[in-house]
Amino acid sequence: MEFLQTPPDPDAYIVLAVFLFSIGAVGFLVRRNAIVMFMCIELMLNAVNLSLVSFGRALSDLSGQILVFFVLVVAAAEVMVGLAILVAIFRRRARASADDMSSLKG
Amino acid sequence: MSGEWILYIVFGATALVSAIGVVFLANPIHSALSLIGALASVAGLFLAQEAFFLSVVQIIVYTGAVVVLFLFVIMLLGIDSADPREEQLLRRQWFPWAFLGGVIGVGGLVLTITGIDLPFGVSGTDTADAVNEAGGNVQALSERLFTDWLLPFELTSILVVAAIVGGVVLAKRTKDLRGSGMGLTPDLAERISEEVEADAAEGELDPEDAFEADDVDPDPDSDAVLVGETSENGEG
Amino acid sequence: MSKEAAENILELAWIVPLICLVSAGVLTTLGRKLKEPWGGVVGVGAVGVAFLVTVVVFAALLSLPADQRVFEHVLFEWIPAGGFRIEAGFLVDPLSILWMLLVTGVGFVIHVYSLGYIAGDERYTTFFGQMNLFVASMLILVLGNNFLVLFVGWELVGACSYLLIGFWFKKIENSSAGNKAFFANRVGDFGFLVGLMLIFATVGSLDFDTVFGAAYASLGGGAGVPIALGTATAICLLLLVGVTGKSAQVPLYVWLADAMAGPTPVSALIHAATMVTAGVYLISRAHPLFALSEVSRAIVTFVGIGTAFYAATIALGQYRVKRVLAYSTISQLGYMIAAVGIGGAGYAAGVFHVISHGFFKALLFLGAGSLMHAMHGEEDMRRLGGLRKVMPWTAGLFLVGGLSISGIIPFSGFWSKDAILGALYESPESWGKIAWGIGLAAAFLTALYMFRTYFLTFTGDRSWGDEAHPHESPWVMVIPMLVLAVGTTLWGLADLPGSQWLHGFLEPTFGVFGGEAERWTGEVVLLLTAGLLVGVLGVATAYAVWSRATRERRISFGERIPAGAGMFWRKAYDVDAALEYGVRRPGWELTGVLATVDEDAIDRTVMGIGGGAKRAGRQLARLQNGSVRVYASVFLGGVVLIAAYVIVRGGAGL
Repeated sequence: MEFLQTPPDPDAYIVLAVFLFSIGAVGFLVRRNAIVMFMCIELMLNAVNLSLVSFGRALSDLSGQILVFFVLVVAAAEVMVGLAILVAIFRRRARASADDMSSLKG
Repeated sequence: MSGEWILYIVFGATALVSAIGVVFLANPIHSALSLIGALASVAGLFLAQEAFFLSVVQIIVYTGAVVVLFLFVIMLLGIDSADPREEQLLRRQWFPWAFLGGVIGVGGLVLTITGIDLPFGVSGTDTADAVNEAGGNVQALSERLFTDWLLPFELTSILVVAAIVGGVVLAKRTKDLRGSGMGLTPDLAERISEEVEADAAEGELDPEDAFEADDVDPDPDSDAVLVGETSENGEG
Repeated sequence: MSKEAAENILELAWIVPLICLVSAGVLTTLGRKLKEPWGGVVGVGAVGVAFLVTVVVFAALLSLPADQRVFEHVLFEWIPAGGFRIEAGFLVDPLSILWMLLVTGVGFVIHVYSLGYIAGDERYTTFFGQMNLFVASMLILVLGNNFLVLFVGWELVGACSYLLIGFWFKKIENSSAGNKAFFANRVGDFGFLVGLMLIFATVGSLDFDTVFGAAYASLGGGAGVPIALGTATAICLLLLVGVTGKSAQVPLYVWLADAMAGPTPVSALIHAATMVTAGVYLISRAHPLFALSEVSRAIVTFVGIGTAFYAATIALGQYRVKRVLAYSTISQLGYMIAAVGIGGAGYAAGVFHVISHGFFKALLFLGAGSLMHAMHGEEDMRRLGGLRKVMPWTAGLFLVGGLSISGIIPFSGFWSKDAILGALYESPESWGKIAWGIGLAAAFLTALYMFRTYFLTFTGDRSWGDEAHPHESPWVMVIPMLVLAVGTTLWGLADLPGSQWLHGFLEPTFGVFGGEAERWTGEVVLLLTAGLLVGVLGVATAYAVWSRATRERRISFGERIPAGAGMFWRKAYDVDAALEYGVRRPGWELTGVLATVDEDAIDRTVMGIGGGAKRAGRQLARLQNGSVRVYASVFLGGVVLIAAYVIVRGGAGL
């Protein structure tokens, strides 16, 4: 375990972020509960945040962390609006399954 | 063994396990609690990379606000028990394997095109020494945020206000919505709700659902087994 | 006045059009809400203030030394499009200030007159709004420091003219007269526009400074891109096309006579005193370009002097007072165009005549308006006569205008017309003397038709019916005429041979092209005498033939409808019919063919494309199946594809 002697290089974090993202993406695709789908979106966002911080550190640039800060703000706003939409939908249909939300189909 | 490796392994494993939990737990409340674990682990990973400010903000905003909001909505809407159809899906024998295949497929695809060995040739000015000189991570970050990034920072306030207004408007009761300036005339609102109800009625008679209902696979342990399997995979 | 103070005032010259523009905006938007007489008060007040400001600007300009009297000021960058940069600015120099004084001064007088003339009309306020808009547009035209601003003003005055000719649009003749004016002007404006493009293509700018700098350079002085002779000729002739449209020269003169369908103050202000002189302004302004091409100057001169003669012959055959005045306007404009066409002393003479004509033609029109006001719209000379006793003021003032246009000493028309004839005669160009001969003949005809009109209208037997009760017009209409009469009497002093104040004043604009000032020489005296003699001869002939026209004779004019050539002449050489057969009907046929092509070929193609898009859309709509999961999968796939593209294109190094 020679490589454990030096701190993990950015690639390690990137790989971790990729798998977190993949879990979120696949989860988003397979789950039907809209709230859980939202949670999966949060997972993906976090994976991206993680990669941003790692890139920032690797490049010695704090912009990465600042971008994460903005992603946090956007994510918070998105959750707020998304959940409000869910509440509004739920009032009409009493079900939180995304598959039922197809009134806007062409 | 370097200290950062310890943090990496511990928080990385927790993050992956919790993330899988989010997807696999049938009850949304359990998913949300699992999400706390995932987000907190990411905060730990931020900590490992010396992003102290973000790590704290991650805890406050995500676990403190976002997940609480999730839980709040789940409980408000009363969907705190698992949807039977969803539960059936999650208990299918093939489901964990399909999921694993999906994750490896997507992850592999992303890794292949990005290339694992990333060449970091460019070096910015915010080295560890420069950050220390500025007085630490928070000081350095705030200096950048309030100089170079001031305009985007101010613009986010508009975004947040818009989100608040949107949230309030959307979450208002439908009865109020009809008479208000939402652009829905009473007639139209009536017609929409009728259509929506008709759709809902149709949805319940979906023949696919009926078929799935017969195809129940009683395997209560599948969750636990899966979590164990994949977490090993994540650590390795 | 110190130099700084004067320049500070000059910098504010843009306020003059702005006043009128704001007033026009207020009056047209308020329209019905602003009741009589307040709409008129605002309209007249705005032009009055504009006139006062113009006088102040004029004084400021005068206080500067003569060689500094060209003041250019850029207001803002108008069209910054790569290499094509147009800055909106204004240029105050002796030429433009004279036009400003004419527009606001005569405009003010005619606005006051309109207070009486248009009183009681249901669109009273709108009328003043449109008149103000016209004054503003004309000011923009003369103030612009480049061709494009000038063109904007040029188009705006055309639009105002259209609006005001058709002011009483409920009568079909009025609105079709408006259309006719609009179409004729469109032909001219098209030529003008092509000319502008050619200027830009040649010189790369539309600023007067740059363009004329290039013209000077081609003449061998100063820096700039030289313009080839052929190009210069083409530019000048294209500008001339614009001039023939706006200033009603042959062949685009046909609209002006019909334009008299509008209210008389409109005829006086737009179709006699100001707008139609825009062509003269354009040629005067662009004189360095015309200096380049002798051919184009010869063509301009002969178009002008030919029009002067041709329109005078038509005027002699007309029975309606305003039509006579309309053809007279065309004829007088011909003189001005000829003067600025020949150049040299002709520039100052042309400008002199513009203002002189502004006074006496406005006066004559207002006289005609007063007449029509009294006779309930009757203006056919065969049913007038003897009105001198009923309306002494109108008759007297009309006589002053008539004497002036006929070139009788001491009125300004005498001095300005003879200045033009003198410039033609004394020009170094070989063709000047031919033009002079035609001009002299036209001057005889002018005196003849003008006094034919005067005698048939104001003297002899009364030929109107018993139902008419003519009366003198109200003071609000007479006083403006009086002011104009004083103007036409005194204006001649501005450019008397020997002193020639105007010629000197215009020196900063025309410079070396302006020719020598005229002195009292034997030749000049001889020319003046010849001009006067011709005028007197015309008046005398008219007196002998028409002054004692009895009622029976007048009626016999109507019955004795001349056949053949005579009829042809009375109907203004039947140009309208020729246009009908030569232009309108072929155009109509062509339009029919094009419409078929449009419907069968173009429409079907377009509709086919539209239908195809619709069908494709219907198919594509199936993708919009409402399933979030499908959307998300497609989204993810798209992101992966884009990432792959970026990586591949950017190489492994990102």
